[in-house]
Amino acid sequence: MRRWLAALVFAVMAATTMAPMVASAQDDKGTPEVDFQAMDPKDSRHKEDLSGIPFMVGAYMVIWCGLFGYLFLIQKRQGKVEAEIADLRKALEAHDGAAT
Amino acid sequence: MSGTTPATRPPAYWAFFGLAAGLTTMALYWAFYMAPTEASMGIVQKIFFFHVPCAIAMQLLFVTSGFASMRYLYKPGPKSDRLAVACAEVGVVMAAFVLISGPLWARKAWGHYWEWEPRLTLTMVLCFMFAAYIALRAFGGDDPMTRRISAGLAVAGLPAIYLVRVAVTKWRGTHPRVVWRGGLTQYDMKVAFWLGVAGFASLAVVLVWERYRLEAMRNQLDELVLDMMERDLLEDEL
Repeated sequence: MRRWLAALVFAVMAATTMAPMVASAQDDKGTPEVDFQAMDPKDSRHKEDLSGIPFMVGAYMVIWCGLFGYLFLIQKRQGKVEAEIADLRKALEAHDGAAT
Repeated sequence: MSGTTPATRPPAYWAFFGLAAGLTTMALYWAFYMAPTEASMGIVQKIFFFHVPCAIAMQLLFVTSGFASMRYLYKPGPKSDRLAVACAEVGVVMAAFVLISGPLWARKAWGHYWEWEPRLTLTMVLCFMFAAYIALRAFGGDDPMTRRISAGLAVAGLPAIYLVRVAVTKWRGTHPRVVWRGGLTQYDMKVAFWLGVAGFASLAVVLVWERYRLEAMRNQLDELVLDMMERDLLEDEL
């Protein structure tokens, strides 16, 4: 019964999700379509814009510091759990040794 | 559940680790030394080479978490549960990168950091949904009921992932469409972008692997605690 209920909920969700797909005949007017053009140094209209450097550096700093920080955090959490496992195993072995 | 700690990492892990390190280094090199500066946006456009790969990795991770949760609801087991948790957490980290790097680009391109347009808003909602999943797992205890409720939450996130993808075209948002409609015309820009996508995909595998390993270790710790409680040893240990 529960599985049938879950299947029903999933079917409703899938149908809701599919609705926009079915309605995809809708036009895309108003959506900004951007083509990235390479800067041409010979073209006088193209002037190298470096004013965005702080934003670019900020974004890269967040991504890379965040990645290394997260990896470090997982390692730290693993180390803590590993130490707890070792302690408990030691206690169990000591208990088993004493019992025999 | 197996009783052994995944103490050593298998060669496949190191293969992904090497792949992730190599590909992301190559992507950085290509983005800064090979790809030319974009004509209208200038240097800030280089955020794109990592912002979009992060977004793609985020979507793949949330989809995997949703399907693993669906499997858990259908057939409860530790492996699908661990995979769902690992993918959700790494996905939230990727979503945070997307939601921080995007506005930094927008500040230069649009003149302001944030706009309540469909794709941005839905990405934020999606991030909050999976953040709620993580919070539920962290503070709601580790009983089967909490696992089932959080799995339901992850499954409910699946439609939102699809909506994030179609939001720009269906609701005429202002978020630019570049990649899937061929707006990436310059060869070195394409190389930098696809290296970034491959790099972040392998990086996501490495992070999920590590997070999965942590979850497996926690399961093992729980088993040991139960074992000690059965033998009345925990009081002495504490």
